[in-house]
Amino acid sequence: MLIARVVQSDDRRAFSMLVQRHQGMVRGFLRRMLGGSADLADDLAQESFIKAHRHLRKFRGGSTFAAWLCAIAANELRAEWRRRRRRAEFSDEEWFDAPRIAEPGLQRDIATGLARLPEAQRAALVLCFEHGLTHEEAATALECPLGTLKSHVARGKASLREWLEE
Amino acid sequence: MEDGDEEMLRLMRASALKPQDAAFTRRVLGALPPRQYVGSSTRLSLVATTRFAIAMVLLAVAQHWFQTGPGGFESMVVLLLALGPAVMAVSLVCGPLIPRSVRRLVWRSGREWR
Repeated sequence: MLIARVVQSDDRRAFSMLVQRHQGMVRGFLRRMLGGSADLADDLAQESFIKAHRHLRKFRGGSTFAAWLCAIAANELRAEWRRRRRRAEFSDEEWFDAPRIAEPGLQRDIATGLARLPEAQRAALVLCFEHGLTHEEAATALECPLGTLKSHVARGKASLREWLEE
Repeated sequence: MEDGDEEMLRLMRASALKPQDAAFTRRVLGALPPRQYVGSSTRLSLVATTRFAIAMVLLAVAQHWFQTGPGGFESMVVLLLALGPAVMAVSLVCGPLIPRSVRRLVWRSGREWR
């Protein structure tokens, strides 16, 4: 198992396989949450993987590795938002990214619709439907109760449907 | 689930952002701290053994001093000189041998190692 190889002997090849396997999910999730800001999303994704490597010994398998990794990425995202809020307090800078998606047709509508959702709903929809996490895994990743997660998913889905039907 | 929902979820899956490239993997690997070639359990036992050895050497030196008095100075110098490289070598592999709390008692350094 790759995780065991990294923990036992700091096997960099095994860790690179973990990065290859999960980078699509982590980078995609962060890009959606940051409104398509690819550079910043990749910086946060890199930091998430470095933290995962540092704390891999603490991963007990109570959840899936994907959920654990997403929880780290979500924490990085929250820290980034906190930094932006602090910066915005001292300047007129907006601390959120306006949607910057320029994809054709319906994909653009989905992306724009997602970007218009509140953060919690967007995160829940992206993890559950774009990256295929179960509700339990997404709740673990976003550190919220399962009921709350389900409610975010239901509300997010309703808002997105409304946006698409406009 | 309604048909509209199914269609929307299918579209979401189809338009999912999943960027994947080898350059990112290399970037992450490049940013990792240097690899530790000695396993953590080996490192801990090596540190413990060396600390024990240091304590034994200091005890032997003290006993020698007590028995022979200042006349045995040369032998103590030889012992302490041998101790230095051993401590340095293990510190290099395993990190500082003397805990920070103990170091603070002995001398106050402005530099924090960890």
